[in-house]
Amino acid sequence: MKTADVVVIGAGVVGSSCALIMAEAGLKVIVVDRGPIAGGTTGAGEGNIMVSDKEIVPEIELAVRSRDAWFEIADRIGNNFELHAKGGIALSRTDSGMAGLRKLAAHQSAHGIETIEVDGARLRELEPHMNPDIETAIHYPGDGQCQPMLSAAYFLRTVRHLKGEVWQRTEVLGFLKDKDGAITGVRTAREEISTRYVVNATGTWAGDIARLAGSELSIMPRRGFILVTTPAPRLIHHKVYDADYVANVASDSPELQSSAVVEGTESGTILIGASRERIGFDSRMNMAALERLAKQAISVFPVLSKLELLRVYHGFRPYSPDHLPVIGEDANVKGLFHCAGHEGAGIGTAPGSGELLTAMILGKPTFMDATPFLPSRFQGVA
Amino acid sequence: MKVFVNGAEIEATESENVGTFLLKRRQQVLRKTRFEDNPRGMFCGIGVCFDCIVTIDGIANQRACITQLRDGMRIEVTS
Amino acid sequence: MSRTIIIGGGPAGMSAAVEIARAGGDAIIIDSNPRLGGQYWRHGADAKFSHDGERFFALQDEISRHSEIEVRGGSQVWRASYHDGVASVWLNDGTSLASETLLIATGAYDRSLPFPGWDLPGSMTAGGAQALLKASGALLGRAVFVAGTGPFLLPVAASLVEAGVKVLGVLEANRVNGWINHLGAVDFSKMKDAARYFKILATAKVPIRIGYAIIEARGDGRVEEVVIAKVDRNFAVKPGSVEVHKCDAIATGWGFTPDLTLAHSLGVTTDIDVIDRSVVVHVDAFQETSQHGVFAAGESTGVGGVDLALIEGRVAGIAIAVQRGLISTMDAKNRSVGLAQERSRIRKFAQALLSVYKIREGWRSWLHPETIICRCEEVTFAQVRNVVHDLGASDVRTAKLLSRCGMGMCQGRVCGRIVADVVGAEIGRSATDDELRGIHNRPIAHPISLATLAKQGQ
Repeated sequence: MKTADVVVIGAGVVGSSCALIMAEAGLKVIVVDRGPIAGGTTGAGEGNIMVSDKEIVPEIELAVRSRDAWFEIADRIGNNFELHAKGGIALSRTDSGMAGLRKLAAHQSAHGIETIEVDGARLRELEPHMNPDIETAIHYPGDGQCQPMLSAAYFLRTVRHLKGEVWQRTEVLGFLKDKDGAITGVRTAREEISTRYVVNATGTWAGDIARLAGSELSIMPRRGFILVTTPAPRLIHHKVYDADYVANVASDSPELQSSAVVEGTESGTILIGASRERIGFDSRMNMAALERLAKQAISVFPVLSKLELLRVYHGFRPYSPDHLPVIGEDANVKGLFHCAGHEGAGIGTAPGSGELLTAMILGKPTFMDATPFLPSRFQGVA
Repeated sequence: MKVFVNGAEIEATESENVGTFLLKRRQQVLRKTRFEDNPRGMFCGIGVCFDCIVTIDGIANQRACITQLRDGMRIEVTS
Repeated sequence: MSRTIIIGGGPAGMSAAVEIARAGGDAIIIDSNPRLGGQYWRHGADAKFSHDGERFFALQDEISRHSEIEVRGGSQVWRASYHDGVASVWLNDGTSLASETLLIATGAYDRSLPFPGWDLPGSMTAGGAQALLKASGALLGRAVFVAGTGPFLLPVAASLVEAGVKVLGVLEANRVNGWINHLGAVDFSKMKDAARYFKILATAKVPIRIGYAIIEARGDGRVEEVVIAKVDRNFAVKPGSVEVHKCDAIATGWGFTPDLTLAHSLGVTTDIDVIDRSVVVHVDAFQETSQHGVFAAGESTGVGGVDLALIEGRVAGIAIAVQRGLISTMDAKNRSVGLAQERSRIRKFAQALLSVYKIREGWRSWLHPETIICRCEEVTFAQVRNVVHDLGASDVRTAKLLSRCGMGMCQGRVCGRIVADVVGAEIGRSATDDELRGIHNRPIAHPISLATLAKQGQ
């Protein structure tokens, strides 16, 4: 039987962030995933490291710390994952929309997010190809981006160098518990691991792992399509999005919603999002989503009408009933820590989440009050 | 008919694709790669490999080997 | 019932259209080429053929006599789907079509193997070199080598000679004795063809070297010289056999890859060929796929050449006519006399050829660390090795996503199989059947203008 201080289930960006921070803290970590590294939602994301779309104070605190943590990690292990502070631009073409954006910016500003209202002339400097009918917007210099799969892979590479292990294609079959019901080990398809701490970082499948451990957790998939254009010389410099995006994420409507989110990448392609559908794990392509995304993106950047769609991919973003991540110890199973339900913000807020969990496991103070994220908010305490 | 290659007007007589038209005029190199700036020309010749991509009438990444010449067409190549 | 959608205007698509028309049905043929004929009968506006033009004109004439057959050339299908018994296709002009019957006749393209310098201008596929000639008489170079494996190298070299190109050598990597026997085994006309190619090559004093391969191309910005070597039965270079020759272009071909992009989108069941492990559409005796109403003919069911494609097209056309209620089963039998036997005879021969001209694993020893594997994204062999050995990619998909291999404009059409084989070797196993199938997963089959897509949504 193997022995580890912590077993992290899930080799996506959330699990690999937890594993990295725990390994750096001196813990012996084994990462177990039933698939390959970054094979789930991580492999289907744009790599958002956004502070600009956060509204609720705990979310803002988590996002701001996480953004800083991203750059600190890059300093420690090397930036091999295209991390850069590209900045975001939020816009609205209605007066009421702009009023809402200004109000949000003032609130965010009070909580440590840099926000700059820009006029048309400045907008054209920031984004020369933006539709001239857009005359004002909020610039967020603190928004960043990374390549999420490479991030997870390099985090896990560091974990291996710190004597941790990564077991790919290894399913977790069950948990071992002592007479008080606390975790003492994990049964996997490969072998048993003796451990007191398990991190459930399985994203959209986090509910399955919770059930396997004898508890429950409601994490649902939200489908999103992303359009990838053919490569072009750099046309778009920031992550530019229509402010409806923020309103849509919080919506509980199951139907297709979309608003333009447009950004360039290091490889020259341009990513166009973001659609949201709450229809379970359905991977069929939705033509209406494609057409609407194309139309909305062109309305913000008319130059896109000269580009072509190369690929489309979809991902399933894991969300909790109140759209906040679930970070902390299970209310029913001692030793089981959840780190899931980050919805569309999982890439960005992964390092902060990992820091919170590491502090909780080591019994150290957390950088923020993590109460709003605790799983007990959904779980009846046994 | 007339076409423009990097702004220069060229008389084209027969209907053929952009790739063969350029090759007959000794234009073997059609573009430079975007990471390493290496020269590329036609490879598969049948629209599969996207190595012969050029800008046509302002639209980037068009396959020279399957795009038919049209009167007034503006073709941009990098060599 | 809606008119039958035929994707691909090559021999299979043309012969199917003719059978449907003869049965009184209607159809639309969609092809990216402006003209019918596919790769085999590719031709310019003046429609000149060096040989075998008669069959093309017979089919084309019959198609043009039937007004029920629409030919939409210069049109590309960028998306296909199958739902509740209806197949739908979306074209790059922003329109879409749907029908209860559809024929996949999407053909094949050259399979390529990478080697140092294969990305230089002047290095083309064998099929590409021939396509230039057929379409407009353009020459890839003045002094060229033709190399790779397979009987296709002969007609390519012969047509280059006829067009005035100095062919410096034809290099066949496999240890085949007497190509003419292989080609002749199918029928007398093939024997005549082969004899003609050999005569052309012999007259031009073109050396044919068996067991040789191009292992590197060099030059400053274009092909200026090649490194050729004798290879063993596994394609590994024999020590001391390396030669360097001046030339200004090369044409390499390693057989063909069936284009299964749209087949994959339509959700049809596929098989993995036992000999070369290529992915082919699974069809029944009537050329119908696992999806009711979706048929496949020609190279997409397994590379077999023009004669097989013509027969499969006919069988599919007749079966579609029956399914549409245009003719009776009895009538279909009368129209199909001898087709099944002929199909199985040629298929057997095609499989025999495939095993003779098989790609052997030793080609990977030609790679240098800096050799480009993915042409679009400029990913090198060293980078592919790195994502496996340093980053822990343990399957083909993860290796692709981490290295960007196959993520470029061609969506892995050229390097998909190469990456599967290279990654498989680095991991220490063969690519799995599902990994090979995954190569053909391209929900957007060809780039589509965002402007067109946006207008579609209005």
